[in-house]
Amino acid sequence: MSRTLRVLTAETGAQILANLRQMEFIIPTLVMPAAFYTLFAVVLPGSSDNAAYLLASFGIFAVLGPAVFGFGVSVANERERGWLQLKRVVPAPAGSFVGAKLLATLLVAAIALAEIYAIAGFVAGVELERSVWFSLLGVHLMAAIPFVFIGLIIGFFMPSNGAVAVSNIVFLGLSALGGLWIPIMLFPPLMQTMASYLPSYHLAEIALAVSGAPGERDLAGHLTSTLIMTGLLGGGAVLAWANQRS
Amino acid sequence: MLQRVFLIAALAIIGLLVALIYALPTPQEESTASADRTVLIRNVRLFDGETLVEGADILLADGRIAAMGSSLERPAGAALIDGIGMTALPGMIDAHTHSYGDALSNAIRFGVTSQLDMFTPPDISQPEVASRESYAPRQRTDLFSSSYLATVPNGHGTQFGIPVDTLSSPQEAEAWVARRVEEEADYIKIVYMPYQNWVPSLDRETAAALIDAAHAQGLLAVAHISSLEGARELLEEGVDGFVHIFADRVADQAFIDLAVEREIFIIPTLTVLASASGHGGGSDFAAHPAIEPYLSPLQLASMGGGFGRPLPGFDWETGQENVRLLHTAGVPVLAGSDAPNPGTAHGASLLHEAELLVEAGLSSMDALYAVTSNPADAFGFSERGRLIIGGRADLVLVEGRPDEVIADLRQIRHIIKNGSEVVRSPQSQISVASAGIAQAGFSTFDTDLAAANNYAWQVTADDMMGGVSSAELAWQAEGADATGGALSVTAEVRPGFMMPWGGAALFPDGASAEPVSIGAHEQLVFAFKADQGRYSVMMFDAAMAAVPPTQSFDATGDWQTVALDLDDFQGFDPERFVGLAITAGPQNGTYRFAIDNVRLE
Repeated sequence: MSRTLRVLTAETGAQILANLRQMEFIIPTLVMPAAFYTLFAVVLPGSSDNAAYLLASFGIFAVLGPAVFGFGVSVANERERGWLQLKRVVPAPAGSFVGAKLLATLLVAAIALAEIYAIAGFVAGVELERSVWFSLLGVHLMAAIPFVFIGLIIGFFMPSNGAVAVSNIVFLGLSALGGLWIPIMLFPPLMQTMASYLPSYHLAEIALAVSGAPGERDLAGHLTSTLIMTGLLGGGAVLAWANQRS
Repeated sequence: MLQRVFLIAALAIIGLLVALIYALPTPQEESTASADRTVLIRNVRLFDGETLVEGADILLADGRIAAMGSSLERPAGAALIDGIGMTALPGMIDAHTHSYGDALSNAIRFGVTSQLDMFTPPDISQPEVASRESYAPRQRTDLFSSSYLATVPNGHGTQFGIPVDTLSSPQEAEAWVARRVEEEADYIKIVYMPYQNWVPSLDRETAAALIDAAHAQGLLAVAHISSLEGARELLEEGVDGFVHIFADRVADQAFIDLAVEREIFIIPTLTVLASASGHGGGSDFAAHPAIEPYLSPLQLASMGGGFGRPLPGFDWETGQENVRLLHTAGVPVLAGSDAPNPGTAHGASLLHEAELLVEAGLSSMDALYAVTSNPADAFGFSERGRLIIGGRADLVLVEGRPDEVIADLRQIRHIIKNGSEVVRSPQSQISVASAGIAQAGFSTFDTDLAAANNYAWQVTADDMMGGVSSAELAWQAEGADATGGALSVTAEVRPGFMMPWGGAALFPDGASAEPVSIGAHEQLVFAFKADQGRYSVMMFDAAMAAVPPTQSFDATGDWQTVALDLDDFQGFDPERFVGLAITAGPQNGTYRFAIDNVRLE
């Protein structure tokens, strides 16, 4: 095993243990998406017709939480406690810190996704080809990347108590305005226009296209928008790392 | 140690995800489509459209019948159907239907795998021409059609609000038939109704020219007739078959001899004759426990519906007698339902028709021919209506022996279309209005024509269906009671529609036509005054059958109280009330009548 990989896996292991010790972080991220999905796709009257549709957007919602909170709040905390300064001087590549956090976040997100998939398949009666289930999982996990960048920007710029507030606003804003809870076509035109500037909207549309939801979708357009947004957010995260508040 | 934490966590979660995805449900079609669709039916009583064999095995593969015989080997992976106690017969053919809405998916739930439509616009029939040739799994009935019917402007067939390509002279016949060929029609249907004065009809020369043009262009010509004399004339002109039995007079020997000599066929459509003649029976049949669960709410309403009153020229016993006479003489009888006319529904009514044919004098075995090989022979099908090796695997398995007891046809256990089982799910019947009606009284007309419950009075006349009757509504001071005031109706009922009418209707005011429940009430009651004559009340519910449930009453010349039991509106669903109409007709003339105190009790 190369040195970098050893460092990365060790850091990820540490991050997993850290996550497990932060139950106040783990429990909401694992419970809330599944609870919301159950409410919107199973419990509310007439919802069973929408279970397949909502599966695509709630999958994005499930990774949004761990990405934004896991990075935004925890990075701000660690930075304030001087942990990031220490990280800069230890003989480990800086990337391994972010990489480990990303992997740990993906594992948490994967559990949240598994819950939603199980509810969709076994309770709401959603049936998809196996290849579609796999592709959908791929889309949902990849969706974590732009959200992680958003979390990093928050974490590097905000004081820790401010990071909680900002993460919440970003999390709720991306969810509601991006159409993760309620399909965007039910929004007034102005809000629809706003949604098109949010990565959550484009990611949900990609997931809907992959899951074969009804309606025409410009898949290439959504992929392009997502790539551009991810690139910009990634650049922002690098800048934020370089200019982080101390 | 930290590395181990990562590895264990990662492997556990990845393993969990992969296992989960393999456990998650996938669409049903995948399993049936990916299998090579091989089915072995074991030990079944087999009617192949021709003869009966006991203890037969049938092997189906790739949408066709691969083998029939005894003790067939079961190929690896073949699904097995144990046929003990069951009879297998060819997928049934309904030789007279009209197709729109869910006709094709409704029909297949009752084992009808092919339908011969006798008038539907080509935009419905034409797309079916290619798809019916496929051997792929299919959850709907295959459709053959005449496309438009041949009738004169304002003739029978034009009353449904669908624009029809009409004609009125023999010179137009060839081009008219050519347009049907262009629309890929499978045969020509001619409406020939001379010797009555409700509705105009093609003349004999034009009908004859149509028959000749159809034959010249390679199509069969079948005819809708309503009288013995009309039928006789078309026989002489060379028609290939009749799509109804006439029921005005009993056929004479000369007619029967000519029918045999010309080798025609008949599609009696006794189900619709039962409904039109007032004999009824559709609602009883629909209520049977083997039938009702598979009827959609619309189908159930349609089977419970009627024409409102016995139609003149449709005598039930006469129709039955004509079927018996022609059948005994050797004229092939084809079962057809004429669904979705009032009293009928796609699929279910073909089973009903088979039973009515037996009631009319056919043996159960003959009735089986009527639903399978007789239509196949008449319309030239080789792999429908008959089970042949290498042919299309359309078949039905019923519990019992329908060749001995025709009612066993109701006991359908398996429907196989193109070699694949049709999913025969029970239909949900729930669609109840959310709220009841607010006030039992609709109108007292004390000062104006206002109506409670957001309803309003409006003119109703057959001009909405292409007729020429009309009506006017006004308020009058003289009422049935001391408070005065009544609704005064003047109706001009003129011939032009099959059953002309004119009168007053009570419907929700504005766009909100939400059905409401009036099930808490037993009777519709109102005061009525008119010169002597017969008047009708029509009820409208959310199902909106082609002809609404109707009751009639006679005027006495003075104020009278009319009380009609809601239960007696056949097929009316009081849980989904939409509106009602009080009308004069169908006798022609000018009617003046007054209505007061309209209420539910």
